Amino acid sequence: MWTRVWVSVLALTMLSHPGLAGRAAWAAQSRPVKVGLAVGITGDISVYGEPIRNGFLLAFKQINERGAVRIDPILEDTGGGRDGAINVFQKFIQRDQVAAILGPVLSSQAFGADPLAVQAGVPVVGVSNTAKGIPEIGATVFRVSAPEVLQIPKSVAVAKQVLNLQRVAVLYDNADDFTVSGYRTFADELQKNGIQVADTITFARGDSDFSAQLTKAKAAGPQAIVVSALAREGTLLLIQARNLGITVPFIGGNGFNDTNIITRAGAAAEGLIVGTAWVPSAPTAVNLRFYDSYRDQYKKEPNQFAAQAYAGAQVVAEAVRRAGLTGAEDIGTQRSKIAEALTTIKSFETPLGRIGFTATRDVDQPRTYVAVVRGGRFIELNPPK
Amino acid sequence: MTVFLQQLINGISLGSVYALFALGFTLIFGVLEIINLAHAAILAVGALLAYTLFTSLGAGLVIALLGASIGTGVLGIVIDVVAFRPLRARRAGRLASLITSIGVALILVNLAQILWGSEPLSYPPGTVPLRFFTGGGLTVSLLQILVLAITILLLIGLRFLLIRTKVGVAMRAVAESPATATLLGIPFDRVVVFTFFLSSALGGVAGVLIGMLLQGSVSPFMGNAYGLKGLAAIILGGMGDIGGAVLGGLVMGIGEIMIVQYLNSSYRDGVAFGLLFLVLIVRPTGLLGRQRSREA
Repeated sequence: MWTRVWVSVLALTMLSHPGLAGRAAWAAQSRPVKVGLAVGITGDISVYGEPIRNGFLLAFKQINERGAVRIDPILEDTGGGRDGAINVFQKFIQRDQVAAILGPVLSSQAFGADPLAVQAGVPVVGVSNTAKGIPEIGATVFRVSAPEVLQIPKSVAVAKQVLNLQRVAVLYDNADDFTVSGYRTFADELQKNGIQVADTITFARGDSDFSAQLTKAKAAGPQAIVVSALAREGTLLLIQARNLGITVPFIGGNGFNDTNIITRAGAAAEGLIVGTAWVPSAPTAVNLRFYDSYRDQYKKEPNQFAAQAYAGAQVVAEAVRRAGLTGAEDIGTQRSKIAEALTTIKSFETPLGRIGFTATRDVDQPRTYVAVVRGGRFIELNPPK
Repeated sequence: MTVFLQQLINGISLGSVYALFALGFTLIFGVLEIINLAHAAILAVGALLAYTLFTSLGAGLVIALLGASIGTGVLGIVIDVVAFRPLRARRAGRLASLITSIGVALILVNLAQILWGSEPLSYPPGTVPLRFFTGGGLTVSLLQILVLAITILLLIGLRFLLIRTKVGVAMRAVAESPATATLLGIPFDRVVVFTFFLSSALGGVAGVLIGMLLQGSVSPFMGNAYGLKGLAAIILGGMGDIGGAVLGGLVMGIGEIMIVQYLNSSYRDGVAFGLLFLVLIVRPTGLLGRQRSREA
């Protein structure tokens, strides 16, 4: 039975890739390695989910074409909640028997779902989870997304220099793990930099009217407003702030790191400062190839999330290659070998620059950026020399 | 003082949005005693319909408002025929229609997601009158005034309809007793269809206005924020009383905003629902509700 299937697969492979690549793939691996992609494509987090899915699929398409390894990506929609992510993880682990999982989108989902993978020994690579404590969930949890604990200090320091900051108001979403974690980091950093917090005001994921919070923040007379929010709430906040006559700049966390916010908020997004793990202009060959092929494929500019997803997929494929899997091993072996191989990845070329994993499975990314919105684009913000 | 006044403006603005939502919500309850939890989804559909009218057909504001309200009105009739009429025919209890309305809401939201996608949308620039009046540190937008004015106009219009017109009298008769109304020759099914049309059209108008007021919030999920608050507003005001719905909405809106300003924003929902709880202890019928006599 299997021989017959594989003869036809071989025939198909040769048809679609008549060159050497196709043959090499067949020679190296008898079966593709299954990788689960847990992405929220529907619901309010689709603003992140869509570029992440695109980044994954683009990377695996290119990897399979190159043929050093063969990956069978299985995409499932988690929606925006924890339950959705948990259900998808269960399906991946038990029914689909995947060898590794990429995702989920939100840190709050990761805190809910990743423990299942840890229990089953399935390696998980987060590409957009930036809250504190993600790799600490368990021994098989990795991430390529620079945590906010590292990005926010840089944003605050640069913003302090550029804006001569002394007094800010802080707004944050207290109904989401990621935004709360971001808020705590902001609060610590503001204190360390001696910046006075005139007022701290909360809202909740799903809110649409922020007039009360913004009026209160305005009354505190800040030089800038620091916000830890997800994209939907962040966009509404920016628009409503400008409508209420608030002109001071906003400093956002990773949730603001999305060109869609600029599209939606338009002029209201001008001056927004965010920390980012990726800028389109990074001049490496891998980044240029990623940027161009993404635009060709999806007719859209990639953003940080797409770049991180692409990098995550590359890292998983590299781990499969280093583990020397044939695809015929039992699933337990595949899982543990990939997890082991992931720990060996150091200084690996991706659109994010050369990244690797630290001993605690967190991303080791030497270069991150602070960006500001000017003329409808994110550009790198450098402190005055 | 400026801050208080600005927050009062914000509160009235948010309150009139709740009131607008609550008007259609309370109408169905008042006439048919159905708590139609699909009303929040209808609101979202109305806002999305207007989006399509704006973007694909280049419609103006009036056309978009009319189109969205007629569209959701017709949708309301379809919902009644498909979901609620079979229940009435089987003489199912109130709980059955409540659960059914949750099912309808789920179907509508998911259909809307297929049709319009899940990303939040903004009405195209230029379609919405973005004018701001500032003075003495206060900001009021033309839209905020418009929303409040439309809410009050709709309230007066509905009052007039219910008290002075024939169809209004028929609706009140059905509300009093469907059986007696039918015996007296009032076409029960037609009254129900009209009630659903009117209530859903109001929901559609509410959706468009909210979409304009809160730019960038138009999505299949936009009704979620109003479902529970709207229910609270009509309970607060007195179930089935349209004046009460508006009053309840305004009290909720102003209350929430003031809590953010003077207490702590984390208590926003807690205090709002706490207030509801207190009112219900003191006045179980709500602020304007009257005990209905049912001893006939």
